[in-house]
Amino acid sequence: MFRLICGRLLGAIPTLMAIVLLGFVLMRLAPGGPFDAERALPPEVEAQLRAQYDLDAPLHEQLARYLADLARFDLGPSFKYKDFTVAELIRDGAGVSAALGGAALVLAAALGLTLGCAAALKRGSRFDAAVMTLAVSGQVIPTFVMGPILALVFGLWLRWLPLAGWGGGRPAFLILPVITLALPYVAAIARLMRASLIETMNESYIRTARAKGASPARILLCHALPPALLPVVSYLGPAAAGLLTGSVVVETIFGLPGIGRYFVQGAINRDYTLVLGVVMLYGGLIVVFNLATDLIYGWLDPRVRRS
Amino acid sequence: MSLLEIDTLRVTFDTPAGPAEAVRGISLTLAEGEALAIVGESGSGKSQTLLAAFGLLARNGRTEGSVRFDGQELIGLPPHEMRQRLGRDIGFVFQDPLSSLTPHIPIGDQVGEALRIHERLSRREARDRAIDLLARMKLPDAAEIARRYPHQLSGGQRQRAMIAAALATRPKLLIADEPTTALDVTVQAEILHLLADLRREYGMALAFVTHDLAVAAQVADRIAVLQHGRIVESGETRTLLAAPRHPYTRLLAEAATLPAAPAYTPRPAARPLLAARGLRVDYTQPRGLFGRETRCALDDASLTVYPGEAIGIVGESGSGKSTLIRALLGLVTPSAGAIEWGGRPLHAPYPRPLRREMQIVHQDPFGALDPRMTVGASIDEPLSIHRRDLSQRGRKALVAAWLHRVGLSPQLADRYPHELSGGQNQRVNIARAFISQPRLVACDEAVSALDAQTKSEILDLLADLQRETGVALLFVTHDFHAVARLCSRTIVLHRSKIVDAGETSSLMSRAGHPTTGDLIAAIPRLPAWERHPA
Amino acid sequence: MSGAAFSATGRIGWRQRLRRHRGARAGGAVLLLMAALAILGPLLSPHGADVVNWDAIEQAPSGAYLFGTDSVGRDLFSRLMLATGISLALGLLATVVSVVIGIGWGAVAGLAGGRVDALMMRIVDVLYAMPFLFFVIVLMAVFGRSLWLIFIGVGAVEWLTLARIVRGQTLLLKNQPFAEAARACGAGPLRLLTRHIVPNLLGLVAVYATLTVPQVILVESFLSFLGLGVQEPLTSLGVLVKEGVETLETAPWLILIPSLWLAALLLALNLVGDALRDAFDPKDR
Repeated sequence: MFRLICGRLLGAIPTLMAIVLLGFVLMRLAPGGPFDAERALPPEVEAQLRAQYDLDAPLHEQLARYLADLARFDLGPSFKYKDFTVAELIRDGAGVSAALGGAALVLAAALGLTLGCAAALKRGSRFDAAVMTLAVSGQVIPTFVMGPILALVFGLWLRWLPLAGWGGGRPAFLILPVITLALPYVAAIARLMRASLIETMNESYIRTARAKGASPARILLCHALPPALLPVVSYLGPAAAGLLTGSVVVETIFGLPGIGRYFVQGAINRDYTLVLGVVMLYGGLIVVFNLATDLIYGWLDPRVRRS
Repeated sequence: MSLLEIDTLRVTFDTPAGPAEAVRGISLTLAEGEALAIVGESGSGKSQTLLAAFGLLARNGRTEGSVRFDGQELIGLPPHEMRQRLGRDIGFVFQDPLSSLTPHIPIGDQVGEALRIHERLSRREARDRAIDLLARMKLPDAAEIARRYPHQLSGGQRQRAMIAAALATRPKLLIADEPTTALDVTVQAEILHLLADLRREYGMALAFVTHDLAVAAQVADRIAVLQHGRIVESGETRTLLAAPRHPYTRLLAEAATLPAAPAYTPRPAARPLLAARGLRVDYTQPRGLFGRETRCALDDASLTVYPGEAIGIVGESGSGKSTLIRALLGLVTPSAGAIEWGGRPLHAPYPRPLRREMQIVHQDPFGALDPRMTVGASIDEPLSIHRRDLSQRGRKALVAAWLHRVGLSPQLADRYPHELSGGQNQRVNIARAFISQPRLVACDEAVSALDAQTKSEILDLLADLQRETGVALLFVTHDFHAVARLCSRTIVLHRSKIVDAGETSSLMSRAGHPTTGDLIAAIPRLPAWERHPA
Repeated sequence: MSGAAFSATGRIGWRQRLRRHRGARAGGAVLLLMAALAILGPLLSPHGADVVNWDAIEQAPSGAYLFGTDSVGRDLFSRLMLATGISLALGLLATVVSVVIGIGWGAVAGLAGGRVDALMMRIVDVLYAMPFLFFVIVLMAVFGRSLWLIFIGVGAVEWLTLARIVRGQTLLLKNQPFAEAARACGAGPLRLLTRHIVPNLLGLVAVYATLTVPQVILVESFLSFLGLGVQEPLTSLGVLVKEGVETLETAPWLILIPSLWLAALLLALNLVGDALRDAFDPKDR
């Protein structure tokens, strides 16, 4: 088990390194730059800005400084929002994005697991067919399609919920964004759970439990569910990564002041320190999520834990 | 009154290809304390009969008929009432203990589970009883085993644990569905002894399902023989075996006796075809972060093969017999040792023309054929590599001739493997092996996956072909019956070493090396029985 | 086991299974319809896809304009057909690219085995774990928007999955008895690859290629939605959705119609892909 942890940790390092290096390379390669959007600057001012933003020094010095900065979580100043550093901007938006992502993950897991189990147990029934059709649709309809439609229906036509905005964090403003973000993952988790549970229920050891006269509840909870959950656990890593991507869209649609929205603005404005800073953050988070998922999986599966 | 009465049981499965009848009207009875063996091959319905009787069928199965257990009608019984019976009055032991035990629950909890369900014991109480039971199954260090998980035990240990779990509630009936089929012969012998002891101690009735008539003879008071979902013959063990009436029963009986081995004619003057000395094969696997684990699959193996002779290579699973022939055929590179072909040394990879001289027939008839190629194309493959001199038409004619030679219609050349049966596909594999006129053919458990009838036919075919073509045969198997029919000389492997070698007939009669003796003694065989003319 | 053996699952070919699958039939029908409309689109509609008409701004669907008009008076129907065509074309092309790269990488890794395989798959693992999509966006931020960049970015994300699948399948096939039998017959690595491994891979590849097309379309739509994708005069489904969001309150048909159309397209593609996958690897129990 300890070997597993070490192995996975060491495995994550090349990925992190690749992300960091790629970020650095892209930063330096960009033609033009943030200054293009502004009116032409007099050369001395430009030179001053270049020095301030550190673009003059030789490449290896820049790399060293970059790595050092990263270690201190200093992601540099934003090119566009001149009074802020990237780290500050990220901190501002972090609360919103975290609330959004966290709520979506919890909703997706709870709803997805329940629906998936129910569909598996009532396999072949109309309930099952309905759940699966909804699941396929949910997975296939992109977030940026579902969001506006939900906003249209619940915000405009029915007027049950506010259309957009953050509203200082009041729950009503979170409902539509969270549902929109969570929907594809509810669907994916439901499908996974269903398939996994059906396959587990067909295993020979379930038959052994039935032959002992175990009740359906006992069979489900003690024998079937623990191994059936494993594939879903594996999925949580990629799911968390996907939630990050999705949050970018959802924040844009619903006008939430989170990290994702800064990211999109940065991309359009070619504010590349901001954009790269966010990508570093996301990349790091994805690596951490995948690592956590692998470790949890290893801990849950007795064949791995006790080998 | 009988404990179990099954009357005209019918079991049908709904499949995409239409309804399929597995059991077509079976009736049998079992008295208290009696042992009944249900014998048949795969597809005979032997397992489905008992599973259906106690409501354990797969979802797409339907049951009709009557099953009375201890006076109560089971067909149509509401599920919660059936659950009260199962596990308390009836215990089940299934075929493959590794897949039949829940992988994430410790053994102790699984053994005591029926006690928690039916006697409402606490977890600790159930555990203690479980450790007790495991000790009765002659498992040393029962407390330690109770803490472990299924994958940490050996096959024999797991099966003992399953038996312990089934007997926890002292049921009136123990149903064992091929409990020893997945185990080595020596372990099988131990488990059968254990069952006999337990029967004496607990006095329960036993319904034992198996494909091996000799195992049935050892275990049961009465035998019922099944074929294609029907009982073809049944009766008391002794009478049935002394004078079997149905041809199928006789076929099974023949498969369960050890025939006399073919005579061995030593040929010291002839030049050896293939000679190997000190072969060693290691497999390395990555372990942990940077380490590598080396496992020795074959150690210091030496053997000589003369032209035209048939050598049997026997051993239990993991003994290295498959590795040996793969090393000889150059499919695996040995880490040490020397191989000579016709006096000249060989090094892997073997040159292409040499490949023509040695061929292999695999165990899995379907897996050995490329599913995307027609059967004819598969047989043609060695020709397209080695016989470029032949024209298209010439090759086609040769393929047709060989199809005929192995007992198949030449028209089957355009069929795909999934359209043919296992037996037919194995004939195709044999045709492919022999078509390039090799001097050596290795058969890796070539008949193990076939039913008794087909097995017999294929062994006859191989014997014929060997006589006709003068090919040397290396016959790898764990089944001594096949070796005794075909091979004049035999080599015995145990834990990656060759432990015994010699004429088959002398090997069978003497005790020889302790391992060989154990192996031969463990083989279930029918008591002296005279063969009636067909 | 032998032919006399009873099989509780039944054996029918994959073609039959596919034909029986209702999802496949429905999905296939929808796809054909959409493709036909996309090709015939320009012929069917009297209005051009990029003809601006200030007199007919934001008109609801009517006889004159089948799906209504957008904020500068362009006919939505024609734009939708054009967008469908472009999305489909992009989807197919990028899929072909990723399939070719994926098969090449995966089959070579699987067949080579040992260190070569380990290295190649390590590279795939590292790339897989990176937030590729974000890097594509960064590339766009850095180098500006271009169709080629979308193409490369999207194809680059998708080949990884295929490479993994192909490698896994190659390993499986390599260890099958028939591969060993072929080697025993004297087949060399080239013959093994071309005669035995690749033909047995094609089925699986077809399945995943079919499932990759909607992924590609999704990614492209996503980029377009964020304002980073396809530009004028071309349009794509993602662009239409973005424009619809902007006029959500005044012209709801501009968001509803393209959204539902896109959803239907993706659903149809996924249904067909799923049906193919079930047909090839049935778990009838």
